[in-house]
Amino acid sequence: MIEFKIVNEFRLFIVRGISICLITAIPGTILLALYFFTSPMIAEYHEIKLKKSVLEIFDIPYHTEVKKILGFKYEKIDKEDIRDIFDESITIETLSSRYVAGQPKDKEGRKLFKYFKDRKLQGIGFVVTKFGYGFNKAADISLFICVGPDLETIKGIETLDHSETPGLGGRMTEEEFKKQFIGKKLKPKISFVRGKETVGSNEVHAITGASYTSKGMEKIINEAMETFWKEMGANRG
Amino acid sequence: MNVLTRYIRLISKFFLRDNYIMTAAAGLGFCSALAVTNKMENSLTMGVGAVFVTCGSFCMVYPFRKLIAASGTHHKISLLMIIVSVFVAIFNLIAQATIPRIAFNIKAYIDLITTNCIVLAVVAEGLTYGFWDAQKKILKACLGYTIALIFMALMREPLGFGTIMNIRVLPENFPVVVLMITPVGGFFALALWRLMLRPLFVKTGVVLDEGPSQGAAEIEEVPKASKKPRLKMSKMFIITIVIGAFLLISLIVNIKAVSSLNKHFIALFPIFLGALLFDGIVLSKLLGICPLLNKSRQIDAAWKMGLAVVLVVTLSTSLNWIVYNMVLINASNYLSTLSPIPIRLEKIFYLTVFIVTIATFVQILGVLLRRFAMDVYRQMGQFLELITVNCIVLASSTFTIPPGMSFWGATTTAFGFGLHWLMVCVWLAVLRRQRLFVPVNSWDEDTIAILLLGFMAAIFTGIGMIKIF
Repeated sequence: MIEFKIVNEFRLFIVRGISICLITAIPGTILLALYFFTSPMIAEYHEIKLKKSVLEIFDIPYHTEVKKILGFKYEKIDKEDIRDIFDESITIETLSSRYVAGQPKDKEGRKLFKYFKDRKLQGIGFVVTKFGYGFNKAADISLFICVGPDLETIKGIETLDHSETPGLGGRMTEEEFKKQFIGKKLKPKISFVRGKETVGSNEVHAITGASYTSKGMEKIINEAMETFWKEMGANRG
Repeated sequence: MNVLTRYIRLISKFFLRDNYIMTAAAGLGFCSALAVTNKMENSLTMGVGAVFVTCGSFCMVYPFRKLIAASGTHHKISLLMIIVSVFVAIFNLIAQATIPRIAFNIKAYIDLITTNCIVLAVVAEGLTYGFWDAQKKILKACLGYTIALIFMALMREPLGFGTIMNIRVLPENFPVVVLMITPVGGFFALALWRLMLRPLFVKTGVVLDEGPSQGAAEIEEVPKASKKPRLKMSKMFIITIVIGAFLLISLIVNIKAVSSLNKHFIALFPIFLGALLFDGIVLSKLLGICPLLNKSRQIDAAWKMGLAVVLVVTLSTSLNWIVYNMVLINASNYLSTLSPIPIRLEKIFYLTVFIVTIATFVQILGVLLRRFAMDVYRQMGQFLELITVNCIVLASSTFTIPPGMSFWGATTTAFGFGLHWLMVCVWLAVLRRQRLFVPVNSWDEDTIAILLLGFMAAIFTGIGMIKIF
C-alpha cells in the first residue's frame, strides 16, 4: 500500500514537472526570440554611449538635431554620424600590459583612444572598469577617463556603467558633477572634498549624500592613473 | 460641478480604496515603492512594468488554472513565480532596448518585480474569478500601485532635486532636502503620506473608517497572547556560548597569525560588515519589507522567520552561484559555438533559473526537515513555505551573482543580508512591543512601524558614515 502511494506521488511529481515545463516553454520561446531582437539594440546603445562620450570629451562636434515637442526641447542624435566621426578622428591603440606585474585580468591590454588634431596629440582616453568600489559592493563601476597630452590634466570624465542608488550615487552621471573635473590636475592625486566653498587644482566637490560612491570614484581614478602612468612609462622605455 | 466631483470621487475610490501601498490594512509591495521613487521616471517605468508583467502572466496562466489549482499551495506559488519571472525578463529586455537610460538605472529593481508581493497576490487571487473580473482587479491593483509610486515621487523628487521629470519646478536657491532622496527618506515619505492622506480619505469617503475601538482591542490582546515562558538556559549552555564568543573574538583579533585565513578574512570581512550594517538589505536596499511588517508583530515569530531567512538565503545563494557559474555559463558557451549568434543564456534566463533553484531548494529542505527534524519543522515549516516569495532571497542572488562576485563573496554577502534581516525584524518587533506611539487602528500601526524603520535606517546610515577601516 505504502509503495503504491510512493509510486503515485512520484508519478504526480513527474506530471507536474512536465506540465510546468510546457507552460513555461511558451513565454520562454518568446523571451528567446525577443533576445535576438533586442541584444543588438542594447549593444548598439552601449557602443554609441561610449563613442558619444569620447567625442564630447574631446570637444569634437557631431551632428545633433534639436526638436521641440510641446515646448520641451530634446536632442536627437544621428548614430551613423557619430560612428563616422568617431572612426575618422579617433585612433584606437592597444597598449600591451605585459610589462606590468600583477595584472592578470586584462590580458588583451588596455585600449587607448587617441585624438590627433593637425597631427598634434590632443588627448588620451581609456576605460576603467572596477568591481566593488562603489556603495553597491557587488557591481562594476565603469569610467572613461581622458587626460591631456601631458598625461596629468583631466580633459573629462564620463560614467559609462554603474549600479549605484538612483538619485544618490547615481548622480555621478549628472552634467554638473562631471563638469568640475575638466582642467584638474591628477598629480599627485585627485581628492573629493565636501563642505568647502572653493576647491584647489586637484580637488573636486563630492556628491552630496553619497560618500561611499565619492570615495570609490576617487580610489578608482587614482589607482587607474597609477597603473596608466606605469604602463605608459614601461611602453616608452 | 456636482457631476465632476462625483466622478473624481468615483475614480479616486476605485484607485485608492484598498490600495495596497497607501490605504490597505495589510500592505504589500512596499519594497519597490520605497526604493525607486526618488525620481518620477523611475516610478513610471516600474508602474508600467508591474502592469505589463501582471497582465501578461495572468493571461498566460489563466488557461491552466485547473491544473494549477490542483497542485497545492506551494506548487502553485512556485509555478506562478516561474512564469512571472519569464515575463519580467521580457519586460527587462524591452525596457533596455527602448528606454536604456532609465532601465539601466533601476535594472536591479526591475528584476525584483518577480517577487513583488502585489503581482503574485493579484495573479493568485485572480485565478478564482472569471477572466474579465480578474483583469479588472489586476488593473485596479497595479494602477493603484503606480499611482502610489507617483504620489511618492511627487513628494520626493521636488524636495530632493527640485525637479519633476527632470524639469525644474522649484527655484534654484530653494533649499534641497537630501534626506528625501536617500533610502531613509523613502520610509519617512511613505509614513508621512499615509499619515497625511488618511484623514483626508476618511473625510471624503474614499476609505471606510474601520473604527478605532476594534483595532485597538485587537492590539490590546496581542501582547497578552504572545507572553511566553522565558527561554530556559542551562549554565553549561551559557558558558559554552561565552567561551565560543571569546574564541571567535580572539580569532578575529589574531587573524594575522594564520596567513591563509587572513587573506580570505581581509577580503570578506568588509563585505560582511557592509551587508550586515551599512548596506543592509532592509535599511538601505529597501527590500523584504512586507514580511518584515507582518512578522514583526510578535517577537517569537520574528525570531523564527529570521532564522529561516538566514538559512535559506545563505544556502540558496551559494547553490545559485554554483548553478549559474557551472551550468548556465558552460551551457551558453557550448550553445554559442553551435549557433551563428552568441546566445548568452545567463543574460536571458537567470531570473527563471534562480527562482527554480530557490523553489526546489526550499521544497527539499521542507521534506528533509519533515523526515529528520519534525520539531523544527513544526516550528519553522510555515515560514519556510513563505520564503520563496520573499524578495530578499532572490535579491541576494541577483545582486551578487550576475555581476561576477566570487563564491565566498556571494555567500558572505547573502549571510550578512540574512543576519541583517533577522536583526532588523527582531528589533522592530521589540520596538513595536514597547508601543512608543499608541496606534489607533491597525492601519496606523503599520504606518508607525514604517516610521520606526525610517529611524533605524537613519541610525544605520549614521553608523555607515564612521570610517572604521
